[in-house]
Amino acid sequence: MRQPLTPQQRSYLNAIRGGQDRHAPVAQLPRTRATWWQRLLSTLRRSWSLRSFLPVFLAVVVPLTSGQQLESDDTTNPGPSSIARERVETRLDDSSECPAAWVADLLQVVDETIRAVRNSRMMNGQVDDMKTGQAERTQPLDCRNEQPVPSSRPLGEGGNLGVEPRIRPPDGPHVDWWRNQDWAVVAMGVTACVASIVIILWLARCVAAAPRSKVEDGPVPERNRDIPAVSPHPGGSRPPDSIVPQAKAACDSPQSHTRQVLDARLWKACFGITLPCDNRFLGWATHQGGRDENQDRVIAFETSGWLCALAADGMGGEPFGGQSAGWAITGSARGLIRVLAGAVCQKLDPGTVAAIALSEAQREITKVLTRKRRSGVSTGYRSTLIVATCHDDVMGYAYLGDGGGYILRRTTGELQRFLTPMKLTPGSNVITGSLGPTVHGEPECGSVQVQPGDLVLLGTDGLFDHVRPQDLARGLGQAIEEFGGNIHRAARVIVQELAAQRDRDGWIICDDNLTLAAILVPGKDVSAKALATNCGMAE
Amino acid sequence: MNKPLNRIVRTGSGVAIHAGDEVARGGQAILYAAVNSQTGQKGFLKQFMHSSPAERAAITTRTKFLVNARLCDVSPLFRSAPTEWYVDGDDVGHFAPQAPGSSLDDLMQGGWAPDFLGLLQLALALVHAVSLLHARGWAHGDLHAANLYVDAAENSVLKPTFIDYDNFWHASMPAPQNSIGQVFYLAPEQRVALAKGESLPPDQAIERYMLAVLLHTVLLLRHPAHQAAEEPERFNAQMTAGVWPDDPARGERPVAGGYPPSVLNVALQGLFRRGFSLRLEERPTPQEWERVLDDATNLVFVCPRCGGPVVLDRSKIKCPFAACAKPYPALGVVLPGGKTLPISGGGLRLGRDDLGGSRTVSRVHAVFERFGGEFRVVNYGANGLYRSLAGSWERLPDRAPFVLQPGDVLRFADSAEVLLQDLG
Repeated sequence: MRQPLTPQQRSYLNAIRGGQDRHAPVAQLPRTRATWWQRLLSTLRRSWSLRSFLPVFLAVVVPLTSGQQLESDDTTNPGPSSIARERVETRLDDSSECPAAWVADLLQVVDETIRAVRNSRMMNGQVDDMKTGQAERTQPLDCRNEQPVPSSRPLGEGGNLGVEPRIRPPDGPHVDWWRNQDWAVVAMGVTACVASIVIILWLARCVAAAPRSKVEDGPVPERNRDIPAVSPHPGGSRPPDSIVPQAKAACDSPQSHTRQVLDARLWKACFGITLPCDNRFLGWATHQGGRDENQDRVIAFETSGWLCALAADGMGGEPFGGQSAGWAITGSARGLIRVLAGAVCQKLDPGTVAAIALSEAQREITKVLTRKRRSGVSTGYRSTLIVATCHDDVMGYAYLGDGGGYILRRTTGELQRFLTPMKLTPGSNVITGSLGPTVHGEPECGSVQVQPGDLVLLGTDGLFDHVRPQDLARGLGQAIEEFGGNIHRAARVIVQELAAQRDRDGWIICDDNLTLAAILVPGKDVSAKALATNCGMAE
Repeated sequence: MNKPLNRIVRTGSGVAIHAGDEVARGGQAILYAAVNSQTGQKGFLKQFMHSSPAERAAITTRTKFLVNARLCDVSPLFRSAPTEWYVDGDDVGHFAPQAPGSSLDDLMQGGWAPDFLGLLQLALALVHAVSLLHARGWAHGDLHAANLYVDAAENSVLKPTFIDYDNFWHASMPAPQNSIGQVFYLAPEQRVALAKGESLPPDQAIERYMLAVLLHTVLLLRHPAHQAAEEPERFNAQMTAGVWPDDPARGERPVAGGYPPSVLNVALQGLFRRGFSLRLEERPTPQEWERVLDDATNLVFVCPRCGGPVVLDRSKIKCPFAACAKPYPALGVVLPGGKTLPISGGGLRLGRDDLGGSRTVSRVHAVFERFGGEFRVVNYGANGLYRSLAGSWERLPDRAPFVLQPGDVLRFADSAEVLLQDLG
């Protein structure tokens, strides 16, 4: 029989080695605080929209406005748009540049492109005269000094009217001004200005949002020792010897986790989402527990006055479970945001909204697999999903797979279960419903009446198979009180404590990934968003 | 009767050290019990002996360099590194805090017998200490069992602390005077130089040899040339041969005391083989030791018959302890028809053809294999392999080894069930 190091021996070795266990995840290593411009460059690097916007603008908008095809078929002599796009992409890839130099160069590229457009038009000499239907042939320009290139043909011959090649101010009536070809340059300038303003505003909002997100990266706070910790129930299964590594020292970084699940900054900027770090009615935590990899994904957010919590558990026995759980969360979160963006105009049923989110998750998985040309796979890529949406006094839910879902009425201590794990038999690992390349099982959805102050708890089987829900609800309630109503912190502490629990032999009790999401139902007269912004989160 | 110093020594940083009774005296220095009057920390004041101003200057330079490096702040493993230096007239010395516990030498002479896993943990900690020093361009220069203090006060954790850094090596410092290390731990090249009347001060390559000797002492609880300890010539011959005296690849020999060398797995045996090499570049670095020892801490297997520990590898099919020396129990798979197939190190593949031909069972559904005294199964079946667990079925991980126990019942997909039976 195997004999492992005792937890004391392991923790001593980790301590003298600076906590840098070579099996530890990179997220646990200390990080340095980034400066504002490093955050700005980092945002630029990560942003797909800016990265794609300028090349698209230069490649598509410019030819359309000028009415000409600027791309050359000759690969050895690319068109001005291609050259400009290449330069912009090269700049975007180079993150070591100073932002000021980068912007200056970008403006120069745009300026050169505008000149190249004009020059190209003149070199082609194709200018439609709307009035007469005759074509004017202009004299080509030298790109570098914009001086007219001497024409080989004499002026006035064969319809060559010898038109002055430089841009002229409109000297005729207004309609004549539009007939002049300079409108394309003006349109491009206006478009570039508008686009620049939008980008600058968006970047400013992202940079301003970054320090608040830092709150999530802080260490898990210590609990008051007077309050008893939540304990897993003694019936927890002892993990098999070969697949139990030591518990990791800290929770996964919630910020990096959110980034994996959802590009939060972009969505926050576009849809006004608030995450648990800014909202005291939401909380979530996840921990890889005794596993090598955390295949659970979770997110909780508020949008359009709706509180939403999603938890997914990638099926560990199947390959790519973690990935599919991430896709499920991303798809359902985006589906929720899209649907709820219209909720201000119409009355939506929370149960229906949750069901839509579930179907969006399946759609996302199918979409990604199709994109990966793996839509024909029959094994792997499977995940469970639990969706809870809360608005006014109704909580809607939808789920497929196992896990746990409860509503704690804090006024009476009553615990109501809204999720029945889809398992072959209670206690078994075989589940009868999951998302994947094809849906297994029948999704469950519905809605429940809730009261202000109720606590909605949902989580994966790694949590609810090892912890009695009443213990979890009690412990979480106490932790919420202890942390001044900060559910997010309370959830992180509870999950951290549970992940560290061991039996008398030193084995980890909660050997699976642990994930918990919580929603505190706000009062009808209180706008969740308004409270969230001014609550002054208790640190 | 050792005479007390009984005076206050003012260190370079202005701290007053109260020196008391003389504790030890050697060829290089006199050691006094001392107390740091500023912090109340107990320790030792070491006053160096020197025969010339040049020697005194060299000692002063090295001592200041050692103290200013603040090794005590690098890791708790160096908590006894000198923290204060002083120059008082002709006297040069330093103050070093007291190390907790007792020296490994004293512990071993007192019949100390911790469990093997504890020794692995101790070895890993001390290797990490040497690794930290080497990574910073240092060498301790005097690794041996008397300079390694072990604090075993806290349950099963053995906390090592190195003492006596005066023989240190650093590329920017003059070599230590008149000291090349402890005689039982000298490297072959030092012994050869000594035989010629020369002195070869330690460096990192020499320390890698010393480390191998010290690890042998720690892990197997005896010096590699312990059988020749009473005969200096034979001892020198063994220690300069460039081979590991206890190498099990050269034939099993009876060992007196400690653990047999075959408790180590092939990776550790390979490092010891290289550690005693005459070629400097072959000697494993502390980082290599650390990596292999780290793996070994997860591979300790206890004989189900005698409780003797062993670091698992595929060659460990019988207990290496002479008192037991029996093969580890074998395990067999009992098929639905009653036929029993033993699991060997070569692997046993089971699939559709062996289990009744059900379509849900893959052609190669599971591979059983023996890893030393352990038996593992790896599931390759498309429809899963399940283990009976408290009345339900637990799906085993795909394409990852899972350790089996006698009495386990496995189900292949939804049809065939097999039983794991102890074959004795």
